[in-house]
Amino acid sequence: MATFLLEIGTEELPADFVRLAQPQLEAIVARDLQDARLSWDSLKASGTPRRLAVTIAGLPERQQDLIEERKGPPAQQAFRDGQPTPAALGFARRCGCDPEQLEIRDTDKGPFVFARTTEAGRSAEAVLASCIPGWIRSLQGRRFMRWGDGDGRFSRPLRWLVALLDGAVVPVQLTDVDPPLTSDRLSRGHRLHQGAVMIPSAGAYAATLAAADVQVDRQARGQMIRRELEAAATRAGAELDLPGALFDELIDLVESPRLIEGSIDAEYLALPPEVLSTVMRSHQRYVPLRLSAAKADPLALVAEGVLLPRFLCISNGLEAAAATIRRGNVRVLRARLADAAFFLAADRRQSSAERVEALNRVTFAEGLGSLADRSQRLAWLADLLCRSLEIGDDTATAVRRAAPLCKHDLVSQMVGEFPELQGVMGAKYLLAEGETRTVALAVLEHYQPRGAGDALPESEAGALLALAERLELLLSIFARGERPSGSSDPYALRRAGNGLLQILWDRGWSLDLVAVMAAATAHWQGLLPALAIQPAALAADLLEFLRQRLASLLEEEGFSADLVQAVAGESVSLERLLRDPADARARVELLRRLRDEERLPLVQAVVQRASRLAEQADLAADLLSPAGVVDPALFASPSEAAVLSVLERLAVHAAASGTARYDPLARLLGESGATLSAFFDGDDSVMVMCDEPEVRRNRLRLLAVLRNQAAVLADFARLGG
Amino acid sequence: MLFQDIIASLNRFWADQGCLILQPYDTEKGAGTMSPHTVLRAIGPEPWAVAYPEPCRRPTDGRYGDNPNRAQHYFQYQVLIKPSPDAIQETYLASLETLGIHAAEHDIRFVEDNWESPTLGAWGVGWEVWLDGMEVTQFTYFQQCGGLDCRPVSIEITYGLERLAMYLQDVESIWDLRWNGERSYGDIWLPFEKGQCTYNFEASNPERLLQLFALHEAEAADLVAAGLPAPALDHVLKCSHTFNLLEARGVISVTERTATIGRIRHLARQVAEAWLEERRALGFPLLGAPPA
Repeated sequence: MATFLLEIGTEELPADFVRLAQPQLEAIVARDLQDARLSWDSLKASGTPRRLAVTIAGLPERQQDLIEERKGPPAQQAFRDGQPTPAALGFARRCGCDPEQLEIRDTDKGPFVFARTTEAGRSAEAVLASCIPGWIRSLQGRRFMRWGDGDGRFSRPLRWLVALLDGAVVPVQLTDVDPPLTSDRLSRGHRLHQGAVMIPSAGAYAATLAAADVQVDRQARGQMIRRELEAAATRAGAELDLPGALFDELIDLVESPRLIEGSIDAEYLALPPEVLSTVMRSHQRYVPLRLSAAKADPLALVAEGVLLPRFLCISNGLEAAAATIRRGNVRVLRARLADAAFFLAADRRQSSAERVEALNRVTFAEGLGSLADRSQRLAWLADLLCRSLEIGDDTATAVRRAAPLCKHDLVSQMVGEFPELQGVMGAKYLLAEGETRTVALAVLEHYQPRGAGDALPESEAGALLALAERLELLLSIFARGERPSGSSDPYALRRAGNGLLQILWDRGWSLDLVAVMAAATAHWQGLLPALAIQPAALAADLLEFLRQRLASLLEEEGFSADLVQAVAGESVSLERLLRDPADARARVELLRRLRDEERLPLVQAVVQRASRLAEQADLAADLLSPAGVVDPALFASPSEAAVLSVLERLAVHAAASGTARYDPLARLLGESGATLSAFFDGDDSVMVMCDEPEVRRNRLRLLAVLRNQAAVLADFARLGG
Repeated sequence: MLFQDIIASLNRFWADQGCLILQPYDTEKGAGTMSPHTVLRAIGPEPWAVAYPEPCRRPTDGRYGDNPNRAQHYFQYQVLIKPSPDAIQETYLASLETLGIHAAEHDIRFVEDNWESPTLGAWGVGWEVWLDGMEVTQFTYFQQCGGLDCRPVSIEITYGLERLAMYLQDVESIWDLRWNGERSYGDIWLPFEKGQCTYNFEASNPERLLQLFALHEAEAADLVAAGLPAPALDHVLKCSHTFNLLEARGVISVTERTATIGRIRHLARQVAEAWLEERRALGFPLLGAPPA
């Protein structure tokens, strides 16, 4: 059994590529080995900023032989009087065997001639050599590049290649990169390790690199870092402010992790904690130390009591250089924080009201006025939302106060420098000026969710302001005639649409978006005469856009495509869907539950059977009650009366409002299966398409009412099996 | 090491690597990349190797000289080599050695940073180089320039001279840097800094700047149409600088920004195409030259 090593040596790879390439590499290699009939005991990828490696242990020397059975001509054509015919001779020749080796076996179609062929397994070395270039080429990541004069692409330039089967080099060449690469046993150590590193054999890889100051095993490197950081936090009596994404990145920024601890002057704790942690984490990749497990107040004005004036840095330098490295890092952080303090002081010299005034001078977008104009439109929407959703006075007052203020920090210096702090700084400045926490929190939260997976506003006022913010963007950009298309969505309108729906769902708010859009587009027409807005057309476009957002959000959440289509597909009217997106969500959740509990097929069968015939009925799709449209006097059989009684019970729920009606509606539909079977197929069954027109119409109407009642729940025709 | 000696050392080092040592280009620009020695020469098949210091103007970065780390006018040292050579990272590290920065005594890292200039329609991938946590250099393999694929690929190395110098001289303020043995950076540049900041933030006339932008845009468009990429680039750079001045006045929102940048990019693409055409018509004369 042999061990194989492939090391792809590179210039420094992006940290996320080091991480994401490893599972890719393992999957591709396993697939190819399987296809190549090579077994193995263990297969593991690893990597550092300067290399990706895969080690395979327990490889056989050769592929298994490939034994195949091939079917030839029918036996009676292959042999005459025990002698092979030309057909048999030709078949044997094609299979590379003697005619005597042909076997005759029975098949469904009578006896046939069979041959067994054996393809001798190639050496593992030859197989690996032929696979390696494909492995390198099939890795995928963001923004691959070319370099030099070559056409080959990779995440960063490839610089060396080690391919060893035990102690022997597996010959491989990559010719499309500049300069071309030939496999060897020469690796490289840590950047500070002089000269090439000779790998004697595949099995000695990790140990040889460790001696060259490279911890090649990503997991082990992560453990080392975690251990060092946690020990430091314990010593400081604090906890790590270490989001998972930062930890992942730290692992792949070093080949030889060493902890550096630094301190800054306590005066910097007068900065807001988000400023410190943004600088430390995002700009410097340091780990801040947090004082307690208690959730920090998002409106805290100073970091005092929240963070320690310390930071942890995972360096890639030598132990002997630790003092210089610490000094350098402290210096950088100090300069960045001094900058931030400068911005804070400059911002505090101005009032938020002055900044709101300054928004008049900032163009929002051509044809859409200034950011102040945008704020006013946003405030108008916030007010409309408060009324539509019947929001209580306290919250509504705070929302009306916060709306015109919410963009003021866009002209602050701090947000100019740290755009990721928009909203956060605005809220803090307002709080410091004496605004209420509710107002400040609404301003802070009105940017949430910032993207997929981000937190939603926690406060009611924040949620309202966030809705208004997204509606304003959608209305204004759509009013300019722009629509997101394909990969082009420069104003992040899809994200805005998603956020709008997510907030409504999260709050459980029933918002009539059809009415909101009707009112808002008419208002926009008056505000922006130059855009020659046609309110009805604009509203229709926006609602159609929101339908698509709603459907794609549900699919992203894992709802089956057919369930989503049944509730939000094009066969469902925009009115029905967007008079209340929360209602649509309740229905799709119910359908999923029914499907999970295997109750959906029964309901589906009933509705689909009724619907097929109901197409020939003369009944409007919105009639939900049999009263007045079905005439019991025309009944010829008790099965018809039974269906009517089901319809009457269903009608109570179908015509009710609110989401509570859907559960009983679905249950009754399911239970009506027996009644409907009796109607169609039982002893008392009737012929719906009978010759008597009045009776036929009456029976079709029974079915049409059922179809209409079911449509309250979903368009069952869209459901798959 | 004195500020002027840093430039002299880098000139010497890159001259030894076979680079042409050129002088700054005489139009305001936000980065050394915008010099025609980079932005035009990175286009097309002809080999090129150049190094030059370049003064840069970023009006929004001005702080009236009050901030120790920021100024609206500063210097980059720019290297561009096409095609990008093997072992260029090691060559770069050797250039730091000549400045007295020895890798073994520091934590020097190449951290992913993908550069993109939306105004130039250019992008590349590479790193920012960290020296003990301080970003001192930008390293970029150009993939596209003016919307054209770069073939071969150039490597661009941009040193932030003030940051390096502050580190080397161990001073806390850019204004305290020693330019030579007698004069400080502040002696030379502070008088300009205050006045320029006042202009950028207060005294400029946004209406007129908008007119200037439109004029330069029209001029660039006409020059491209006339098949004159070099002067057209000058006016694209003027557009870009005028746009930066407008930004300093805070009169352009994030949304409007996108649209204006799109207009400049459109011109930059046309300039790139015209330049490539001009070189092609000449038969790419540098292709025959000995490699740098």
